[in-house]
Amino acid sequence: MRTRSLFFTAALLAPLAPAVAAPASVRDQVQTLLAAVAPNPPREISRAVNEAKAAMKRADAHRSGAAAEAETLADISDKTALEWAQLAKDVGELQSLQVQADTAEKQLQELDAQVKREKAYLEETEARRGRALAALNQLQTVVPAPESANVPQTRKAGQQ
Amino acid sequence: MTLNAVCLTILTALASLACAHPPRPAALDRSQMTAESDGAAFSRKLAPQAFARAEGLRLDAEAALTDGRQTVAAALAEQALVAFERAAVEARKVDALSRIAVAEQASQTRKTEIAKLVALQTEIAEETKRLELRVEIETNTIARAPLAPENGARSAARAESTRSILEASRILCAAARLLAPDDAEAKEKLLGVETLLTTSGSLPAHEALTRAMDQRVACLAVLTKLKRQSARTASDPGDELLASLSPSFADLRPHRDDRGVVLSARQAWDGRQLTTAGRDIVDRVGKLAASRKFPLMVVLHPEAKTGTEKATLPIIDQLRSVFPSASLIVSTAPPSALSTPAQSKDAGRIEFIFVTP
Repeated sequence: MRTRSLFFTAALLAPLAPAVAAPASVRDQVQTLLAAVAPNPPREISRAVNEAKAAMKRADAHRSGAAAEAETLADISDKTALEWAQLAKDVGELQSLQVQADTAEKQLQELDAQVKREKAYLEETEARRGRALAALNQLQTVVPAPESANVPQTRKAGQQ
Repeated sequence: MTLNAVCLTILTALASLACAHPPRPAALDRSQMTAESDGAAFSRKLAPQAFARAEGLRLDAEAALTDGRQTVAAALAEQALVAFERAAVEARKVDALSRIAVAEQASQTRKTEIAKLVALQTEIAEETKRLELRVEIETNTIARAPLAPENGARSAARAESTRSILEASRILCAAARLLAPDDAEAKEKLLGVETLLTTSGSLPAHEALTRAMDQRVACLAVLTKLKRQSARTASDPGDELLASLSPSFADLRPHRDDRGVVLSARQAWDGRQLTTAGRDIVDRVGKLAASRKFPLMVVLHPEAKTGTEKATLPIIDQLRSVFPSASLIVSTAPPSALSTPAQSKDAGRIEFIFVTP
């Protein structure tokens, strides 16, 4: 009775076995990653995608063959396909980051230039202030009024 | 050679072949070269985990080869090669992130520096502008010409001018006080004008005239300063007031001057009290003043024949009842024999001055 029950349970679970096996899961991951690649990708990404597809074909070939360790080789090929698919994603992310880095460095260069301009502008304004102050000091030199005048006068420097 | 000898040779050869190591897969050599390359040092430094994982796969491949599983070793070596490539990409991502962080931090520092420079620049530019304006003023100021010696007619004319200038100064200083009742400078200047109004007669005419001119400059300066301090809105309240008065108070010739917006009523009083038309004008201006928040100054310019302050007391009372918070000023400079016909005609009027910031 007990033996019959175990056999029945095993028969029920048998169809579920492929669904939980590792290769299907790896394949799903590969398919998801490849589906996320934009059409007409750059050469580096395109190469990784092609290599991933080739590795999946090798895995299929191993599974359909009867060589020793065929299943092990198929698993390794699937994992290699996953490496390639992840590499395609990584390269895409790298390119995006490099664009961001270039933009940030360009902005920094522009800010550096702006700092230089502001410093030059400030120096120019400080020089203007110095000249104005000197001119004012010169103009405000008090000259004693001539005796004939009724009121004291402030005469501009250089005037007779 | 006998048959036995040939068989022995073949058997020996087969035996030696059976004992030889299997050929090393090319992928394994490539993965080893990759692991030892200069680029690997970069990956090991910036992406140590990814590099370690790739190295682990390569060692698995070496172990499989040692176990005689040549095809498995080759497949693992292929996987290791891709993993090394991923480690290199990961390292470049870390490098790019580091570049972004360094650039953004430096940019933030530059922005702070620029903000400080701009603030300093603005401050120095404003100061420079003020200094340059002063230089401009000093350069173009015409030195006051020495006054000619005194004589009878000239002294009388100077006394007349002194009074007129002091009266204008008094109104300017009073306007300044209305704008800022607590301003010590405005209070001091107004006091100075009022003192000079009472003492100018005892001074030599040329000296009184000079002092009066100085007082007028001082009063105008303090009024301008207070107006600038209180002007905070984008639109000019004086312009808005003038625009609103122009249609309904056209008969009172609304206009602007240094003091504010001015309405001027002629023939509004007969020397002692308001005329019928004058009462109507006062009522209209009273309603206007009640609806506006500007300080109001009412200036009476008496006719020569009524010229004493005592004579104006009844009308002062009438105006006080309509304008309880206004500043009422009776001009002490009635037209004299020296006044022009236009000045004489202008006497006997009431000015309503809305002191605007």
